[in-house]
Amino acid sequence: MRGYYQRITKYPTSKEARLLKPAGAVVVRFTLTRSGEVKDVVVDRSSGNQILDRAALATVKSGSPPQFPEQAWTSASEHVFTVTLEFDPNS
Amino acid sequence: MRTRLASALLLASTALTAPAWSQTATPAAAPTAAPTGSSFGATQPTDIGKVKAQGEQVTPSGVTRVDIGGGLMILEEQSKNRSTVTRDFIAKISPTANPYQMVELLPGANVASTDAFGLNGGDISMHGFSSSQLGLTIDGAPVNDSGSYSLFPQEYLDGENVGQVSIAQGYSDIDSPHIGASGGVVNIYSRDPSKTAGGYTSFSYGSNHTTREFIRLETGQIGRVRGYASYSHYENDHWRGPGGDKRDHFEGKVVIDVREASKITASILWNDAVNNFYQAPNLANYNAYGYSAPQNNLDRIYNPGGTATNQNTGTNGYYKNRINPFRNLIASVPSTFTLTDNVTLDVTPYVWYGYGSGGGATSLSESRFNFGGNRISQDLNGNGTITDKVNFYSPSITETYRPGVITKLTYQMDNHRLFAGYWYESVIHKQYGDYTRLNADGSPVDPFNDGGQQLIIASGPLAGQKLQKRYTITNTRTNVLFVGDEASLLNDRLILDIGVKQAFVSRHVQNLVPSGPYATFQPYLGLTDSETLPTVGVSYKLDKQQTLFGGASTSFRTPANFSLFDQYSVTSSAANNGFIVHNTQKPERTVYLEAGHRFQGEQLATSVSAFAYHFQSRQLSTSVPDPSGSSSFINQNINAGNTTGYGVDFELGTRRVNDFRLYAAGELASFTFDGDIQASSSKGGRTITDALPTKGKTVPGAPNVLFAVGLDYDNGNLFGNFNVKYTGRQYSSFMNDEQIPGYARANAAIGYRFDDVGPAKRPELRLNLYNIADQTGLTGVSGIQQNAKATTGRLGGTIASSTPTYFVGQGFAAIVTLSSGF
Repeated sequence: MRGYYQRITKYPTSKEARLLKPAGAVVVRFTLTRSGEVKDVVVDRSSGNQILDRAALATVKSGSPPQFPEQAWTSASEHVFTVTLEFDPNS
Repeated sequence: MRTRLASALLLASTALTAPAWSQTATPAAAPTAAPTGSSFGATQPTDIGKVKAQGEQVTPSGVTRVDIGGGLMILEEQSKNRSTVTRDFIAKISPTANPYQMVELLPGANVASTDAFGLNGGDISMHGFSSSQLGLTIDGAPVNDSGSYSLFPQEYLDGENVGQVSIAQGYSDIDSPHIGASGGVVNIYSRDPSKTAGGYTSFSYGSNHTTREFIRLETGQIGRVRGYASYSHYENDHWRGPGGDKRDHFEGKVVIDVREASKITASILWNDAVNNFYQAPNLANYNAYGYSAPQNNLDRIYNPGGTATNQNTGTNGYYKNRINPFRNLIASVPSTFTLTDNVTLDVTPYVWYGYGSGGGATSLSESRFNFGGNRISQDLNGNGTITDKVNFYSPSITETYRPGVITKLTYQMDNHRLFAGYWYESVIHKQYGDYTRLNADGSPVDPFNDGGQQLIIASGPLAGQKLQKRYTITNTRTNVLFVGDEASLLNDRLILDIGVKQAFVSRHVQNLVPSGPYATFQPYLGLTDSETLPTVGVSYKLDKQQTLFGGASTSFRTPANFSLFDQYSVTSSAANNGFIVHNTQKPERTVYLEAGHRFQGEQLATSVSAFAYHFQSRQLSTSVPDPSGSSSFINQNINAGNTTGYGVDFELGTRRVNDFRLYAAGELASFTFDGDIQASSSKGGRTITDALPTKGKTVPGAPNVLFAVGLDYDNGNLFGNFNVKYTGRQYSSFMNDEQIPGYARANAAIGYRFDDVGPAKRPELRLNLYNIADQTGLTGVSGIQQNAKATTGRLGGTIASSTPTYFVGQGFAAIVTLSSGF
């Protein structure tokens, strides 16, 4: 799961992000259903920067993470996760 | 597939359990022990852990090798058409390039350069709007001439310090600080200081003895502060005709990270340049004599007419006094303060100072010259007579003090980003025209005309005053309020931008040219504009890769200040005030619509948009019959009617494939006048107000076809690019009775980026080649006229012709650059 999000998380490349080069971490909470649907995506802890918060939300909302195993949370139709997306402009 | 993923997840969960789930309230064994039923609210969230996204690694020159299309495109998210070049492209063209040349491949940009390297300036138009109808900012500060909205691209940032340049082909953003942009905008942003101490230097040598040196020193991150200072110098000989360009340039920038998500940025630019003009030829002379002939260039030899007592200024003016000295300072402090998680305050105070001139020499008759409405006789060369004609340096001088501040408060309320802002600016714009003496070799005694060498009236009621061909002070105050909302709907698939701004512009001109027995001048005239400008944009994500976008917006352009003051001729022997002032001219106003589609895939990005606009109340300076009843014409700014434009822009770019990145862009468009334009004609020995039959004619200087292709190669060491731009036919008059044909130009670069060598970080050797097919020809319209041939007006009078002039495209040119970080 973490590997998946590591793979799809990119530093934002919009014009505004390129200019401001914000750095920070966003904690995103979301619900993943057994069918693999991502829903109820919210910022659990803001980075303090709206560009990064939006980028984190967009990353999670646009994702198609792997379904969680049947052995996990048996008989639960969905489960809530949090993931911390850290952004570093690197320059 | 799902099974494999599930297995992978299980394995991964085992491997990652400790770091990933140790932060959860539920222990790592939770998967099998989790409660049944819906989890939301029924169990603690499972923390996946931390993932990290970093910006791209960059070379010391700023190249990432990953930007789309070789740096000619970004993944745009706005609900409007906008195109951007990044350092991946900028760092590979000549460091001498001006901002127009940086964006010349982008869709809709029609760029003409006076020289291949961009040292002397040039011109840009977009969607049928000339450069003085476009807005230009540097780090958020507006830099158009406050009075006429003119742009001077050779005065702006050093290429090494440009982070990115964006163009919005249609209209400015709601918070953009423009009162003169009835068309689109160009926004230039400087790069941020590096977090690592060191610097960057480059040396260039190229055609026409072009030399350029640049050095930038970086402090690196020191606590919360980092900054840089840079200096550059260039000079060259003109590629045609005599003269050259010379510039000294300083820039500095400091970034202060106040705290998380808040930062203060301060940038400053100081420019000191003395350029010669390039003579803009007319079509007949160009076709008859070619670009290098004396007829089409400044005078190489100073030959003021044979005797020292009967001087004239030559054919096109002697190059040593046809100069464009300019000093300017641009400083801005664009800063962002995150007040709470939901509230952000953006503040951009700025100041623009400019002092400079352009012009040449004038031959004054000692027996009579004019100062406003007064006639003067004076011994100008000290030989005891008042019968001579004596040359003086007589440029048009402009001095501008332009402070302002833009503020914007943004509040994130659920899925709404509400914002409100205020822009205030107060500009003092002095325009005068002193006369100073020439040295014996024809060069000005004081090129900047600020050293007390001016010609003083010796006697009479104006004794002691400086002779001025113009003398005005314009005060322009701008207050703009704007509010808006960016609403994110349908689970962020639909973004709706709405906003409105209210602009209040107050412009007042003091004309200090003295009235007298022979002419009167209105000493003071002002105007106020109040414009309400709504805008709406929408974008809708069809899927993860495709977005539809569209919008409607309005923009305006307050009348230029020269419509508010009388103008006269110092040397005229006829009527002494050749201008009608008035403050009743409407602002230009544009209603602009666009809709488009973006595809943003892993390897390919495209953008296609259609636009249509209705442009109203074109401002035009033209001749009108003399209201006093004489048979002569005088000038006035008029409302030249409306224009309709429509067309399609597109661009596509690829990510790196085998180290190649491709870019293509183009525009197909139509820009036509909706009606006839007021003009003066001669009929039956009288001057009458007539109409130039321009209805349906194409807007001059606006090609219907633009197309560009760029190919970039960069394997980390070896790099190069090849670009071709085709510019379609352009008319040079409102009547479309003169034109230049379409043309193509191809440029290329090849270079090698070495590994670190001692203290030198990634030194580069680069060769830039311009116009590699060595095609010469006219590449743009410098002086647009209403009709290049005598034309019969709607009322039957004869409307006299005027001669358009053109930019000449330089043939093959090359420049080699050695650069390195350290």
